[in-house]
Amino acid sequence: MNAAKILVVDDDRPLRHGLSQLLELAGYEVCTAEDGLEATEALAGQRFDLLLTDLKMPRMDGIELTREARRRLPWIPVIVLTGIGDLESVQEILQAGTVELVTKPFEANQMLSTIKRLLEIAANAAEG
Amino acid sequence: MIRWFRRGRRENGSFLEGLTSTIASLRTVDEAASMLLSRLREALGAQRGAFFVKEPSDVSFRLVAEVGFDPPLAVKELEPSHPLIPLLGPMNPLLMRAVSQAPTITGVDPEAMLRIQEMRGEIFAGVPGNPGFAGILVLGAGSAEHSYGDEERDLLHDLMGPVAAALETAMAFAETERRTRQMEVLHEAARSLASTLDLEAVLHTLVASARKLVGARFAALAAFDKRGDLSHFVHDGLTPYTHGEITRKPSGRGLLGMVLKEGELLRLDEISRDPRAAGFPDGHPVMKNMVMVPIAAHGRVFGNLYVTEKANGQRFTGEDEKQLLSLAADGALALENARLFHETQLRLTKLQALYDVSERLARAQELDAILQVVADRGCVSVPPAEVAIIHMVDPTSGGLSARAVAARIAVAPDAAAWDLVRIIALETLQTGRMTYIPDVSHRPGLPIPALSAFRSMVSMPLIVGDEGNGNGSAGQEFDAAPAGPVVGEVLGVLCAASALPNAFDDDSLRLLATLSHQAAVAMSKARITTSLRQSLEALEQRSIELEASLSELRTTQSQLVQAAKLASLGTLSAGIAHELNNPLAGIKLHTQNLQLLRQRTALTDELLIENLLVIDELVDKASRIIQLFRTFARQSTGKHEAVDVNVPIDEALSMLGEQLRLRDIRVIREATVRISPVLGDPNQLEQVVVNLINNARDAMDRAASKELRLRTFETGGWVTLEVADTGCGIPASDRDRIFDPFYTTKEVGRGTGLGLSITHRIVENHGGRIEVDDNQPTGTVFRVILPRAKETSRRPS
Repeated sequence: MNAAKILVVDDDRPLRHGLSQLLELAGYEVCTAEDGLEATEALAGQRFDLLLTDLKMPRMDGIELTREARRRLPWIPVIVLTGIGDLESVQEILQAGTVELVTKPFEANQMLSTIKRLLEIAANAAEG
Repeated sequence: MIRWFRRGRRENGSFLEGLTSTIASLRTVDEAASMLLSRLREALGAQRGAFFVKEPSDVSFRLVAEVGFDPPLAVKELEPSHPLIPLLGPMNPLLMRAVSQAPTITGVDPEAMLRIQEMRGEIFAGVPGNPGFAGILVLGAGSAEHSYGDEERDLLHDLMGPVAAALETAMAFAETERRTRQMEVLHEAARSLASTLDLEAVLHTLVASARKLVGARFAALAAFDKRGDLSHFVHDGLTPYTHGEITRKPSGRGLLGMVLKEGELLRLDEISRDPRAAGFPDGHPVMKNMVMVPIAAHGRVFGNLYVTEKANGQRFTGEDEKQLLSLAADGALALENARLFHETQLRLTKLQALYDVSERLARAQELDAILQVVADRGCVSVPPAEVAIIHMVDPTSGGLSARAVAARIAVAPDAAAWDLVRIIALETLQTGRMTYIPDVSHRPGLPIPALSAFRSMVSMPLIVGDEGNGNGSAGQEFDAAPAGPVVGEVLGVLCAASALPNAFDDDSLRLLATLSHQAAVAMSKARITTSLRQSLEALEQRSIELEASLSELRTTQSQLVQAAKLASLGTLSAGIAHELNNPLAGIKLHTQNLQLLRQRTALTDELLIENLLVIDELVDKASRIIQLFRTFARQSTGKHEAVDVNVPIDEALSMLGEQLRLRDIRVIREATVRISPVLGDPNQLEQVVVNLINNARDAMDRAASKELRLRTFETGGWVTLEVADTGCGIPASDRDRIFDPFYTTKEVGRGTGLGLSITHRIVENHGGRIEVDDNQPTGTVFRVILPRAKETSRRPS
């Protein structure tokens, strides 16, 4: 089977590195971007099965990116990483579309099971 | 009687010799004339005789002696118009004729003529003399049968020359004596007048001298003040009882007024016939004749001097007038001097009184003590006042109560007298004006006290004028402004009373008015003082409360300052959490990745080192953030040290840089390296920079272009730290208020409003200042200007 392709977007270099390493270990194909603008460019050129993005980023933040991604790929599962202090933004995030919220710092296993679950739902929906 | 003439010339000659020597020994014309008349009557066997003499200074013939008339002759004087006079002929006095032979005399006082004509067969003898001096001798045989014939007439004719000479001698002697006596009187008067400056003494000398000078029964003097009002009235010859009966002083009208106005003398022989006699008051002694002379000097009339009732029923003569004028001239000068002196003294007394009162006012604390001083002065300095009472209005009841009483009378006034004072005081309280009663017995409706008590009274309102009122703007600073008296309010009443009627003159009233003013000022001050004391007590209480609040506030303030600092941390917390979240999340992720790699036996040395380096880097980053956080949050030590202003900027940027970056704020640093250090507390200076950056960040929230420029530079002895933004800017009208505590334009819950206030205080404590300016094209520039270290503090101009 073809490995699912995931776009990881985070302005924090160590996190991008850690997430790429984790997802690749789990057998996914990973692409990274530093912020929302870079991510939209990636979305325009390639097909992705899942978007994993940080919330707060310069230039274009996670919410805008989600809107942009949903505009192009309405079905794409989105995971948004939030900090402890970002909870006031939850309402806005939810308005941007159905997303999964993961609060930093997170458990690696939990992240992987969330990704797996979202990909299965998306696959079922595509078949149905 | 006819016998005598027939005794022969020799006898007649010796008789005449004896007669003239006797006459010569007599000193007065009256005595000489009496002697002459009785001797001639005896010699001629006459039943009756009369002798009229005209003195040189006079125009009428005065009866100087009479004998044998029963009742005595009513005619005391033969005026020039008398029908007998022409019979004698003034220039030809050697004329004798019997009345029986005289032509019918008409148009004469019937009584006078009747009595003269009773002297049937009577004989007139004109007594010759110097021009202006003459006598008329009338002798009556008593019956027609015994009328005198030519013989007697011849004899008498012979006699008249020597008689005239003898009489003239006596008269000259008497005149000399009289003149001498008058000169003595005048001299004594002049000496006496010159020796004193006491007005009363001068006045009394004048009237006493005048009376003595002309031999009058009464003499009086009315002195007038500058306005022409009567100021003094003194008299001589009146008994106290008679004087007490005179109801009012002469008012200056009628006779007195005329003399005053015209400054001319006046002589009246029959006052009652003169229409101007109305000028005398009721109760004045009945006056028949008088001479009144003005007392004038330098064209000013000071008053008038008048004498009445010449002794022995005589009339005043022209000579009397001259003497009185002479006395009045001396008197006027003395009076002028005395008046000047008196006025000076009066002023002195008044000044002394005022000085005393003022001095005691200054010293005395208690109102009653002050009022007592005023009352005492009222009694002592206003001579006619025998009692002075000060009443005070009770502010609550509005009634009067006596607060000070001074008296210099031996006998205590009766209750009616006090009632009277009270009635008049109440009247003054009601009207607010002075009440002056010259004589209570002339005022209906008043209870008349016993005779010894008050006759004249004056009552003055104690009113505060504009100048005595401390109720100015000074008092309005207090909530409870001192309740000073209202201008024009009657605070009390000062009463003065005298047992004499008409006791208070203008000067007295003026002095009493001044004293009243003093009392009013004292009362006003007392009231203000009381009010002030109450206000002061209230203020003291408030001050204590305020002090308590203040110390509470101080505690609160220091708590607030710390709270504000922590609050500014709170606004940072999102960014800080974010920044801590990221390294923590990174550390966790990489450690888990390492475990995962090991489980899958895919952990190469290379991968292990790579991940450990990342973890190491993240731990450093997290600890640095925590360190910054802790440094900023700790309480400032307040210790000053040399600080490079670039350091607090860098520290602040380390804390805030992530947020600024996330908000797309471009940070431009223009640091001057090797800038002179400033002396300060690094923590506090960092707080200044954090506050300014926070404000700049918020100001640029909705800005199109977001640029934060941080500059440091040095000019002269000053180091400037500049924070410029491209935000919404601060209107000029708000710039005065932005440093006020709790001033904020931010929405509720976002700013404490303390940031800039604390910033301002910190900068001031560092001897510097903050400037606010517009940034170009938009936004605001804050400049923190601090003195270079090791430089004595000098503020930039």
